[in-house]
Amino acid sequence: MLTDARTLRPASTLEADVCIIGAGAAGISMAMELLDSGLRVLLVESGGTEPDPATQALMTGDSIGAAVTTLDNPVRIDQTRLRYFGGTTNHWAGYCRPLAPVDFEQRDHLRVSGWPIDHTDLAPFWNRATQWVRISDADFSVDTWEQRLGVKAPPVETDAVEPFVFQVTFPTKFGDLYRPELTAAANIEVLLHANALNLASDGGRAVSHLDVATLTGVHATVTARAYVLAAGGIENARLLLASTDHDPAGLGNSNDLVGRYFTEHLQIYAGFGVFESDFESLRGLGGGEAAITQGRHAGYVHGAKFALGLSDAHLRSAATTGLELQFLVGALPDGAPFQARGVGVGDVAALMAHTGPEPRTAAYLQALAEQELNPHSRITLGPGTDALGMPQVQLDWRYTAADRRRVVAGLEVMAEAVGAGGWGRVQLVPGGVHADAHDRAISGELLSVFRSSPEEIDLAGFPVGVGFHHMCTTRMSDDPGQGVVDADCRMHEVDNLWVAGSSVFATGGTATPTFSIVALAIRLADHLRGLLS
Amino acid sequence: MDNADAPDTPAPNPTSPTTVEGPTTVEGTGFSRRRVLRLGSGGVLALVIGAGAGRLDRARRSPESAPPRSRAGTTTTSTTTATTTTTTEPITVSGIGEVDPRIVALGQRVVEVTGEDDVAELLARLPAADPDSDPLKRAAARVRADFEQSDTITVDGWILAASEARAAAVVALACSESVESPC
Repeated sequence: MLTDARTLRPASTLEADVCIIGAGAAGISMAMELLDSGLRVLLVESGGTEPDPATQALMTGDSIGAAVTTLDNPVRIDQTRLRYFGGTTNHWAGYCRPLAPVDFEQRDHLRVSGWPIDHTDLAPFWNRATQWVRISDADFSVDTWEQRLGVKAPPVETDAVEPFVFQVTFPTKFGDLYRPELTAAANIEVLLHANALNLASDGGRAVSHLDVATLTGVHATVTARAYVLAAGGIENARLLLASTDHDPAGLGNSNDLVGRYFTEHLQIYAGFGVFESDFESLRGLGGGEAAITQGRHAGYVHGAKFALGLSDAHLRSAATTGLELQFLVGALPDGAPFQARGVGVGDVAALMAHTGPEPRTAAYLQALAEQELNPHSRITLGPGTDALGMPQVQLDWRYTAADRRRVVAGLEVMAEAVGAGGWGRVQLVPGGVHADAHDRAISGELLSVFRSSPEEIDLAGFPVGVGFHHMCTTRMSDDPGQGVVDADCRMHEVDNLWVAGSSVFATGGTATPTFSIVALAIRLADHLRGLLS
Repeated sequence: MDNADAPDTPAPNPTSPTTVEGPTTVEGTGFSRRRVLRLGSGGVLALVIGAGAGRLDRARRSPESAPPRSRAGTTTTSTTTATTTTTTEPITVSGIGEVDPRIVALGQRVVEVTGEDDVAELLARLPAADPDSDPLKRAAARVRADFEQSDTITVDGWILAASEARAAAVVALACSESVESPC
């Protein structure tokens, strides 16, 4: 059933077994998993079925830390998320990849790391998540996808670097895809235009009810046996911090951890490369046509592409953090200098022709890096309020010089692996390439792809963009002194409140988060079904 | 190939270190190193390495006699154990063709960044000649080995195998000193 909260009678009370706050990837996946559970599920969504500026503006906030940017363009924090049915899947690029085993491990060289669950605990849920993100299966092996795509992964002959597979599914807007089933389900009620304002509690140990309101002035109350926060990595923390009935520090925040450890994926346009003439072996790196070969669902792109990543073995031994490198591949224009000064693409291509295979392919390099968790990188409540009187969020995102050093070191390892593989040379100019370099190259603007010349690149201060991946603000840990939720995603301090989404990630890893968000949501749905049925 | 075109009176080497005891000549070109080094399709590194495309004759010297230099702006991690040599016999390279100006440009930049500007020293740090092996394959193998050992030289962000970068530098230096250079 689909209900517009604006049509509720004033001061209505809605009852459910499970109240899920937020209808994005996590919330919708949970609701779909609970379709035949016999549990009454209320899915509370701030927006409607279409984007609405007034609702979107409720996520306005201040960024007081590191610049939130796509490198060339500053981004407001309300632009990194979407607040209507389907949530941020409405602009999701559809890249799926499970977290790596090492992501779950305690890494002693990092100040904070380790999950209370491991890779094998999530494996069955990644399998089940494939149906909701709409990929063929959870087989991410390079061998499998070499066969399916008919192209080879890039040859890598070092233990430090390995190719891996992204499965790509696009556009996969959960709201559009699953609204019919959720609307028809007898045990599911989707409450649209209902903004969660406050989690009222009994002494801070249990949620007594949820206060919701519409922008039209309708207020209502929701009571449930179990509450699930699934509003995203920023909003989850915001609602907890704003729920101050019992404690001015917020709900479940006696250890002052709610909102801390905010982490993003550092996105760096890292440089350029020239590669061997065997374009077929690189085609899988670029996605594009290769990524369209595995269509299973009419109207959707589904396929895969290869990228390079630092291996788990390297991450364990080299005291570093995760890094992946994607290649935006195109043909190498004949004789193009590509830059006005210094050593150009043509120079290196000419050299490589004498020391290896003759290159015919060029690529811009886009890196995505894990950052070390930092307690000072955090979400707090700012001085302003939104249209409903709720405190606006304040983001103090931080990354450190050590994060940057690890990125550069990882990129150098990648470049050496490419050279040792005998298929290319890499120019590392982190932050020195325009974010739209690939488009510029395609359009013939070859000399404009560089933001600055290589000698101007500052390896200690190169610009960093974001992946729109908001993680770890209610991180999972067995230790209440290290995390907000336990291994079952239940708040340590609140008995009937669980959290879904990337805010429970204990570390960021380098994998794009949505696939794991869905897997964790399925796991939580199973948990609640067992607990409440 | 014979050393038929070597000059009778090699020119002095103004940039050679004191450990270089003899002249250098470019076999097959008829010019000394001060004149021209013509390199071409045989491959820069392959050629400079020597065997096959050209023959590089170098006498050995003790490793400690030519310590590697480093300079700000260079990120070179040298794990190379190449034999450093004192040129007691002529350095000769033969069977070479046109010089690619792009490689010369790159080599010039390598010299600027690394400060390594002595041909004899650079040659000494490249693999020794082996007339019985394919120079292109040897070059590729050496490049891979350099990368595997993190023996790289970074020039304007390009991470190059130390051997290939030094080979380009040799080409550039030879050209810069040539009198009748087509570079």
